[in-house]
Amino acid sequence: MTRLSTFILVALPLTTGCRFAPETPESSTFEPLPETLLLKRMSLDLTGTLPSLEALEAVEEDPALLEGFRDEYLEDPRFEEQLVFLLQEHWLTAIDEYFSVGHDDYGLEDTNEYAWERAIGQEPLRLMARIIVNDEHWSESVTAHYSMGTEITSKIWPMTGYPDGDEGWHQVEYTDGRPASGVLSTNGMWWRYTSNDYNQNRSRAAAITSLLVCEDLLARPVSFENVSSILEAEDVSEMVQTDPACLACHATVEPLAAALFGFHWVTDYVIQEMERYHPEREVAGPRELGVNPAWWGEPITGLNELGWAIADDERFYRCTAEYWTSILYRRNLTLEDRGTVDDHFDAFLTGEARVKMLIRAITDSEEYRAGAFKVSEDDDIEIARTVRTMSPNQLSATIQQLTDFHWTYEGFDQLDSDQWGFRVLLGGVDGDALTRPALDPSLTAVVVLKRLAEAAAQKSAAHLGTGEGLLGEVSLDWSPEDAAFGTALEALYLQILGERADSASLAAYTEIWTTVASLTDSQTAWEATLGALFRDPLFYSY
Amino acid sequence: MPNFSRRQLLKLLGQTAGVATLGSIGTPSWARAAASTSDRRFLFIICEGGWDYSYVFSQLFDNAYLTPEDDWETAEANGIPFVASENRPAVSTFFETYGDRACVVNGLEVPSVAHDRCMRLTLTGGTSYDRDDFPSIIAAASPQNLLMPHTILSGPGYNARHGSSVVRIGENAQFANLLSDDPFVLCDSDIVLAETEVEAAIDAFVQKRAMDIAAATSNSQRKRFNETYGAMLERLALAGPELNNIELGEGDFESQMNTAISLFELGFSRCAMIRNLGEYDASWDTHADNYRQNNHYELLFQALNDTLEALDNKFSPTTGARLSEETTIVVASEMGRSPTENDSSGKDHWTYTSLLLIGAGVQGGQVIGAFGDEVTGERVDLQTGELLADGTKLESAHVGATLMSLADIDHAEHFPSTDPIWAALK
Repeated sequence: MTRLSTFILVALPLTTGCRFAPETPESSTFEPLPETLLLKRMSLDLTGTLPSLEALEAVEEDPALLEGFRDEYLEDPRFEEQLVFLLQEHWLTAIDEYFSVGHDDYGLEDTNEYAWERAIGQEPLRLMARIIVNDEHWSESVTAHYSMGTEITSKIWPMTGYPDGDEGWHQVEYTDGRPASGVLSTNGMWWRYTSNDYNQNRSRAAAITSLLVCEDLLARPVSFENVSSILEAEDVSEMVQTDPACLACHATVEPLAAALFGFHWVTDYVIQEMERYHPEREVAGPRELGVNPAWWGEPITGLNELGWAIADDERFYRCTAEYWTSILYRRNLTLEDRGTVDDHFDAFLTGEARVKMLIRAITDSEEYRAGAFKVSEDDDIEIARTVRTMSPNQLSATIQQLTDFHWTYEGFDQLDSDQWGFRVLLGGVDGDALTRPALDPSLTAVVVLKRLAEAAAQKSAAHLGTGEGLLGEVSLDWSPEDAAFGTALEALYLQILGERADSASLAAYTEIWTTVASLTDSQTAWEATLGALFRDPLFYSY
Repeated sequence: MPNFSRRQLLKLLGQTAGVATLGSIGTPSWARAAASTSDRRFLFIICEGGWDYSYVFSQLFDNAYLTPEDDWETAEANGIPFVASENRPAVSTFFETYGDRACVVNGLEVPSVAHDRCMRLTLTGGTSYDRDDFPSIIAAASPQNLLMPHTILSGPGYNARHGSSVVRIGENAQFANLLSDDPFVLCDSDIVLAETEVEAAIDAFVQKRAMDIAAATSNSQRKRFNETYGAMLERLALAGPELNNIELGEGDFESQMNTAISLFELGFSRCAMIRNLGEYDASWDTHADNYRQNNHYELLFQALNDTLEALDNKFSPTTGARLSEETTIVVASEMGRSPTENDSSGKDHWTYTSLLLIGAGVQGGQVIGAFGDEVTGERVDLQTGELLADGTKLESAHVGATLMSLADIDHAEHFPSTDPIWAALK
């Protein structure tokens, strides 16, 4: 298999394969978002942060500038960081615990625990994000010869190419002889999707089909109809290759699992086993499972060809279009969405399988840009999301953008961790017990937001009148009677909430300022006003 | 991370006074005012990994396929036959003391061998992502404006429509930290807490703001978002200082059970979820060394005995009755284990399992269903609970329908083609 064959396949997608018939979009379903709010949505989704005041005012003046800003976001350095969190919602590799293996097994200080956990779990996400940012063909994600490492993993794992003395994520290569298979050759992938001596990579095979081609074999019901033969079998592994009920899934699972034995751990969950690829064990796959490696019936020699086989499979690209649609629409898809996914799939392929083109297509769609339903719907959650809730990482990045406050504790990013942090309390996914983001405000999210707002407002208010930060130009001498007061409040409202304040909102915020000023002083009143803006439902939703 | 426990953390901060003994706690006025006999409480305990039902729930000694243990003995107490062992005294104590409140369901089919799918099946009755789990549905239907309708102390949760009813308090009860007198204890920055009057003014402002936006918009989703947001703040305001009375532990299974009880006693929650991972949190997934199930069961039943004793001595905030009379405990595991041992003295996944229902509304002293000769589920008559050749094959949807009935919810609304296990209901 060659890259050329992949290109040909993806360039001629509509002539092959089984696809849903496109449906006519219902153009009258939605009221579009006002342009400034759409800019806010695009900025939050693509950079994790709010649009600048200048961008808001520019789009307010000339809505035609919107697409240009969207394209700028796709080239923004923050885009790569945001991609990691978006990809996590599908791949779920960034978890907090890796069995009995911990940072202390590597002699790392406790303050490095969080960095160690994310260096592992984000490895495949960072690789995919880098490929997207570089605007490379998506086949690269399963064929790349390199991976991504940090100052931690580059030292503890067999990696080379990490720049001396540097920090953060950089491109690296493994030195243990593992094949070039992109995310399929990352430790981060297989530390998350594990197997053991009994399972023999079958669960990993199921993870591959689910994550890469959206064929969820585990969703199929398993019923032991022929139970006596299972009970009497000397070796159940043999049955899965002969029993028709088993074969329905295992005809795919067994040959795929057989290609993964370089990652097989002879002793479970021992770091010396886990951190290295074992080329000498590749031959064990066919021997242990009794089948030769294959991808859905197509013979391959092993992991070295698996990535190429996937890259030649049209379902790989359609699945990518499917999960990106789900991620950016902030909802689960249903069968009724097949036409929409087909449209995005077509745009993806027309764009030569560059994910940026796919994202453009999705963010161009009517549903993505929906602000409301033209006809009020019932509360069925599977309808389009015209109102979205900020995710923990969006909150974290936005608050940091506006105030420089970053909630950390002993090395942990508190909005991106769960042991002592608040990720799931804010509706995020932990990749384990919680695999879908929360769609509605919860009690815990409201409380975390309250504390986050208090802390951020306090940090920002410390710069009041200094020329720096949100309150830098504010004077403690101003009172609500001053024109400058109203102007400053209006600007804060626009910058934080992404829309112009109406008179009622301005009056309400003036009132909270006055109330707090009467209880304390002008400094505290500005801090309270800022804190209230960070807790405003219009800030938290987008 | 620092290796001190939350309890130690509070001590360090001099906040132990905030962790009050429950006897000193009054019933929140807002909860007391909304008493309802239909507001039964539910404690869900999920034994994660897949338990071996043959250790306790089903006497399969003569089964040709089963690998038994030497110490197993037949026993019966309060009408429930079970597997006893000198190594599991707490199990015998449970059935002897509380068997009249307990209903064992055997032969429940969970048609998958993947843990995550089985867990979703066990808690939602299906595999679809658009289903809420049983506790969320029950909590959302509560007639009261509860602070924390369904509290997940640990373990899974599945939500589609009722996510706003669910509260996760964090692995180390971080939620309580945020509500304490020092909410920024888990923060590197020095943050000075606002004065009480200022904090209250901002809280009230944000709540009113949410409600004003909800009232002004014609967008149904924006209205719902803001109403929900405002309702959360209203709940917090109503709970007020009572929040400090939630009994916190060190995050282990027993202490989480105590926290759940305190949430019920305070009238904060209708449902609570706790994950049990067995001894040393080693998981019930015993592909090797299946004998570890012994200690898992012993510790589980010790905790159950303690919990039932505690519930007998605590009182409902709504009716004043003993909490045990208003609390249903659901003890489940997402799958069973194969009858025969593998080469590592372990047992692999099995698509049939057992379930234990205890307490309020449950017709105790009985076993419903059975494992047949091939260790699959026997069909039952849902009305009588007796085995019936052309009866119903028990699935998790039947459990869901049963729990809906126990919670005074129309089961047909959520499980239109599935009846409850009527025989399990009083």
